[in-house]
Amino acid sequence: MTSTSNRTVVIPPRVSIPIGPQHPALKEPAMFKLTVEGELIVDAEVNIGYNHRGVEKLAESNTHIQNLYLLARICGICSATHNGNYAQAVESAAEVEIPERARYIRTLIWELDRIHSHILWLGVAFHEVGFDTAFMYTWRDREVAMDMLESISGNRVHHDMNTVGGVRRDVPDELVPKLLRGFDKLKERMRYYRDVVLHEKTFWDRVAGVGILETDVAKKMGAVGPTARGSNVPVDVRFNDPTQAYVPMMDTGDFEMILNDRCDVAGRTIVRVEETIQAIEMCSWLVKNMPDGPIRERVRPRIQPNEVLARHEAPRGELIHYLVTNGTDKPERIKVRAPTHANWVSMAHTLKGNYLADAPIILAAIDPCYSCTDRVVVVDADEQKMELVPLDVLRVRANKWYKENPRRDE
Amino acid sequence: MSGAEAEVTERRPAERDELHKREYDLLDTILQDMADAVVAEECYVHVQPRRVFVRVHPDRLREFIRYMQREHDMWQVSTLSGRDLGDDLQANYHFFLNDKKIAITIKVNVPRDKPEYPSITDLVPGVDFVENEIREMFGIVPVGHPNPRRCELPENWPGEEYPLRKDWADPRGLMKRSKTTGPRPKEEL
Repeated sequence: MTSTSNRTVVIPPRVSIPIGPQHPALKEPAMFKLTVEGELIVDAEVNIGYNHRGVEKLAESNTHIQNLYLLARICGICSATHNGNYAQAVESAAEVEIPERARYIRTLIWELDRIHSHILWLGVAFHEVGFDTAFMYTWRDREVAMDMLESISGNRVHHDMNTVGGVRRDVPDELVPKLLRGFDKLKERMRYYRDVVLHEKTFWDRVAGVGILETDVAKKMGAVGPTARGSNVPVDVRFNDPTQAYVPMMDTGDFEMILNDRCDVAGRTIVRVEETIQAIEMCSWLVKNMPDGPIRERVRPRIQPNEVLARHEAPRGELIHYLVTNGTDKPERIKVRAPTHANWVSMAHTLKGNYLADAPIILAAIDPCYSCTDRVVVVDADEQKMELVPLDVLRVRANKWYKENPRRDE
Repeated sequence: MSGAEAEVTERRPAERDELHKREYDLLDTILQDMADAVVAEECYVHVQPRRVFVRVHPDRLREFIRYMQREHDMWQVSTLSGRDLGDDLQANYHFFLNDKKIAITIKVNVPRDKPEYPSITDLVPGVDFVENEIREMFGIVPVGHPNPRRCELPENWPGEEYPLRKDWADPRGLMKRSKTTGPRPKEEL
């Protein structure tokens, strides 16, 4: 340290960090190429398509009833949305009206799905910022919603409640008091989490001002769902383009679209928490006002030629099924646009200018759901060779491997 | 069903009644303002509420999008879906007009032997990913896309194969094998 005059200042070079496709924080495959200067993200590139399963192609060779179950398997978290939206697309194509009670049950499942999905997201958000206690609490309370879904549909995850022309199971009267008790409990817990989000400094300081997505950029990039509403963009299919029981629900005027003008991750969090409370109120309204009557209408399997654009507000945003029917019992073309696909476009912009340590929470803030986004899986072994490994082969291979490589304690 | 036949029958135009008044108002304005850019016989209001379908000539697409953005405040882009109509391939841009609360689908037909039309990614940045997707899946090329790249299919997918076209022959038997049900015989494993 004799002379300071001829010391060279080393400017940190730009470094490209590939995150993914297999990344411990995100659980699903996607690749983010972040260019950082020191700790600051200056450029970002999003690569998707690692889990493309060919559902659209497969659906063209299936009947409409088979497709209901196939499309429900697109996503494990919001399976009711794909299932229900496809059912309403086919019903619109056939131009049949389904019974009023079926509309209410379908909407009830959609809203319960939204509750458990938003609570799940909230838990993940707490986890990504290192607040694991709240993560455990939220996931415990999510079980209340999961139990309700199970008692209605018989399944925790893939409810498969919808069929072409209505729903498959009724909500029995003796279940109603149990559901209402559950809603009360959930509402109380969600109010508590709203306070945690707003007043707990360890959480708030990690999300406030992080991942800014300006209103005009969100509009231009076609952001949807809570990501857009957290940036004050009024897009919500339930309010703008209502179908099913949302029509009478919106006519009551008790519900308003939840918007936030913070434009950051905190804004998106507040929107989701408020929306969960609203969804609980919507569920109570649906259960209390559910009309009596049949739950399904018979629809002929051959659907007349038609072209239908079915829209539904999934927990992550606007879900679109563009269905073209051709007079047979199979679709001519079905296009699925899941909400995460629309939110990727703005992701690169949102990441820029933030710190590397904030990248996980920014990525998680759109509530990414990769399987919805990708639609063909080809398990490729070598460069030119493609191999598709069915479950039974996989099982045989696994058994063989474990036989050859026994665990140490055996 | 062949493409030409499907095109005639799949349209379900609505009656000009009170229920579809707003949709017909929009369609009439479009037909009046952009008469030479659209194919008038394929523009209609669907019986499903709040749905308008418009077919535009490929070379006038950019002009039409600019007109919609200027006159009808069209900013919410939903998606882009491809169709295989036989002789033609079709790109469908789905937009939602948030003020009027009408979903408008803008169709562009391109010939199968030269499936090209001008990209609109610079006007509507939201279609960046989906324009890449339609190029991979249908081989419909949005000319002038700022960032053409492989987006959905695996990197080793053959360049000349477009899996969502109806004539894709499945040369490697992927579809057949993906539908295999039940256990296979032991000797095959």
